[in-house]
Amino acid sequence: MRDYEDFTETGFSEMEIEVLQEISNIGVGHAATALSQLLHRRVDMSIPYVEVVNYDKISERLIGSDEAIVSSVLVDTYSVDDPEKMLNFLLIFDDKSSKNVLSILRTGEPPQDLSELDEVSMSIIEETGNILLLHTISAINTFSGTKWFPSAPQQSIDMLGAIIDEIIGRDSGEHTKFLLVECDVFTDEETLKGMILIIPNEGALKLIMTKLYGEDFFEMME
Amino acid sequence: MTTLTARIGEIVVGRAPDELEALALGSCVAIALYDPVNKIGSLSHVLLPESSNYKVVDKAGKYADTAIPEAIRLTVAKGANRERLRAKIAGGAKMFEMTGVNRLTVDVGSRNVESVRRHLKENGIPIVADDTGQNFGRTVNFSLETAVLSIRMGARKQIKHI
Repeated sequence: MRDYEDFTETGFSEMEIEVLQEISNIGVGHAATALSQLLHRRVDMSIPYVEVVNYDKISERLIGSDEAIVSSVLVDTYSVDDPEKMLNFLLIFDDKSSKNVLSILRTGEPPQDLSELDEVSMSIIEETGNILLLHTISAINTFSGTKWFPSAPQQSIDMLGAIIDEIIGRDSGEHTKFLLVECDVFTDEETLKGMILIIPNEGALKLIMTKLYGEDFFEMME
Repeated sequence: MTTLTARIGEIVVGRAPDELEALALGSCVAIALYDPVNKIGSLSHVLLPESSNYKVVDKAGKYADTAIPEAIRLTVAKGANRERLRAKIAGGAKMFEMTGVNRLTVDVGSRNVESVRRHLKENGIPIVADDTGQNFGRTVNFSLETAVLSIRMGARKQIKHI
């Protein structure tokens, strides 16, 4: 049995966390299928692991260092029914995985350094991330009956800490804890490790719960 | 010599030959306040522009408007002369392009920088050097001995001294 102590500290109920874990599982499963089609190889995935991480510990938790250079793709989604509610998806490939994506999808020498990527390589990473995230989002929509509408993907290849910084700062400084959904995706020859951070704003998770369990869910819980 | 690291929302204070650092600043801003004669100074790692926009204010060092008075207080308490304090600032980048996001097309980085400048001015502290904005992460190291702020630019591997 999972220890829920950390979760209740964040103001999320056990049931909300379980729902989040379940929709992540479905979402990332679809993403792995998409990756398999894109790469033309067998892709296995681990069961997504949902965890609550304090904002100043995210980088440490993910890669072990704030200064690690990673590639990341951010897709913001907002609810068609209520644009105030947002669910943001950040996909992170560490250094090795980023290079592996490139060596699978393009010919020629793999890049030595992520800071020296040409436009084509950057765009390959961005599109791969976008495809994975869009599948995740679409699966969540199908499963829970929500309408999360994605905006255009945004890419940043930089220090992980700096990327996380911006995510924390830009939408609500009141978040001190984040829901982290981590999933490993493996291919036959090369290993890809994709990490997906899902950041719901106030009300977003509530909307999913209402869609799944009906309007009176929160009254029933009180 | 000790190197003190300011994590997000923290203020570290030291005296020469200490060095103060802040890792991987994105939209965050690092404010080095120092007294060049006594060689005493502080480094604040600010995440957000104004505390008044938030219901819960957990740490003074997290917001530009509360971090600056607090940093002044701590630096003076360590032995710096209030009248001699000056500042060097870095950070406030925009890591993502943020196109097409509905009401959130706000750029936290530039709002942070703007707020830091305004609050330093209100407190009568001159900014002697800065490196802000643009679209890359920065790691900064402030030497209290030389009062030089070294900035390492994320993926680009360049180092700049201001």
